Amino acid sequence: MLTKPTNLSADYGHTPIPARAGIGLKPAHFGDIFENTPEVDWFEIHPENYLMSGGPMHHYLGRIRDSYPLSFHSIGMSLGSVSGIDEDHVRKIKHLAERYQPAMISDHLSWSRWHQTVLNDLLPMPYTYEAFTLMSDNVDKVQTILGRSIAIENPSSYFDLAGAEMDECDFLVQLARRSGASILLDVNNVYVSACNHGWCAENYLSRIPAELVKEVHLAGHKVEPTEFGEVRIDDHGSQVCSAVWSLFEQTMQRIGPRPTLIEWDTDVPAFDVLLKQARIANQYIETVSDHARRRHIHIEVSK
Amino acid sequence: MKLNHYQQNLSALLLVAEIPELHKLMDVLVMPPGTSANPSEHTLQRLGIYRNNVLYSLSQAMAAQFPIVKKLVGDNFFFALARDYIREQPPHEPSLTFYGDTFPAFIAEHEHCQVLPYLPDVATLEWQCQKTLHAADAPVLTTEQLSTIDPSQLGELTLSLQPGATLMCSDWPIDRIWRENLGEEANTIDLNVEKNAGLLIYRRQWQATVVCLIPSAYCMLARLNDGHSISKSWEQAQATYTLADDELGALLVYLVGLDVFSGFTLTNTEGN
Repeated sequence: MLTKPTNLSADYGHTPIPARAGIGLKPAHFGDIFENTPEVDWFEIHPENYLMSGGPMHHYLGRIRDSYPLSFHSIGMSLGSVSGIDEDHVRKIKHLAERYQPAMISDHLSWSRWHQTVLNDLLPMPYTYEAFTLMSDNVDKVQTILGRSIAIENPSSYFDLAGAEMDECDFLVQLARRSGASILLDVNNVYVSACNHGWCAENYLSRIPAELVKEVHLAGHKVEPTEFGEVRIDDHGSQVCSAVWSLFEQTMQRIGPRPTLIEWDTDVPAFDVLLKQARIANQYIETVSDHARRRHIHIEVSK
Repeated sequence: MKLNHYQQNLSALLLVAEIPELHKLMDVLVMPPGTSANPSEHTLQRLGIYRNNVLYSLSQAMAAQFPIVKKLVGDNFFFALARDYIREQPPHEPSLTFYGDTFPAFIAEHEHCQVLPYLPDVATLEWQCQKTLHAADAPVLTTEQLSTIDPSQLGELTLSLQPGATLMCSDWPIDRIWRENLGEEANTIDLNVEKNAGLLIYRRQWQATVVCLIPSAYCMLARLNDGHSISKSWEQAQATYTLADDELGALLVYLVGLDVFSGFTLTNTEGN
């Protein structure tokens, strides 16, 4: 069981996440963050890494939460599991959320558990009506237990499963609408899947309604040559590539500034490298904000 | 294809070791458009990415949990061992913090690990470190707090250990093996000379700490941990080891100085 936070002054009250770049928090960077208190707008964690009773992980996360807004990005609720939701796990995330008051909780349009077996990967869903009904029920259950709505992220995938009755974009948008959830739009994932399956990334992104997008993710991926052509592997192990920056820019121009996370999970680099990626993201966001402001002023003046 | 069928079969495909079995199961997996009814190399290759993701992510979690075991057997052997373990005992919880609890027993049974008889105990030590590192937080009992007790009542105290603190005995000098391998250059440990170890594993200042106790101190702490009072525990330590009466004070100061106790209870009276 989780204990109450030691510093009850930390009544965070859902400190909102600004529509700027945030960074995925890695224990390897705790030292840098405490030493330099870098200018980062917000951090995101995987709640699965903080479900222990006590110890250093809570100690350090509490200190970070004292200075920065926080978001929970779950990798383990397995929203698409045909064997249903692991309610115990969702309750643990709820307790953790009560302790740290994240501004958002999200998970993926995928599954990772078959009954008692956890596969620890984000596996693709077939985009069928059967899967849609099941996922809607699962998302409802999760949101009921958590007592709040979640954001659902589009996955990167290597299978384009046959028998689909709608495409991924429709599936995601309809699922969010039906569940009262929002969308976590991972621009890198759209690009990776589009390249792997021959979809059009621009078309996918343009069909996501702006009002549903609460957060955006950016990451690097690797390209592996195979005898069947290139495959893009979403390893979160490098800088955001130029094609993804360009799609991000288009997306920001269309939907406006959003909280945007830089993810880097394999071969985690020095903290400065992540800060630089966040700065680039903020430059794109600021350009869009300036445009929006100027447009707004222009409209005001012309009235 | 029904969702149930798809998820059941993909789960099996991700964890199965044998390629012939893969082919046998592949015909139930939905083919991407444009491929024939038989498992195509293209689909197998994409499936390989998922198989690799599952094994890689779980093996990395195991490597983080058991770094000294990995160092002792080498990367190649460790990852082969981890792969066998993952396929036989995949995790049941999405949080991997405590994945690998049965790995020490798995090593003890594994035919290729028999040449390193101390390996299961080293794995247990690493597992206990992980457990104690993430155990609940508790205050640390200080000698100042103890000094508030009337000396005549001291013997009637029972002391509680930090949550997750463990006492562990091994026939091997595993603390030396563990410590030497934490450093970059391991010295040779002569297993014919180095003796068995009685260890205390607990968290101190946010770090897992391993203390090798002399036998009398181990005995005393084990009794205290069983819930016996100080005088009762001391009696049992004296019955086993040759200890002068006046050694109790020094032993208590030593144990309390380790910051391993979280509080005390006076028999019949609650205290802390």
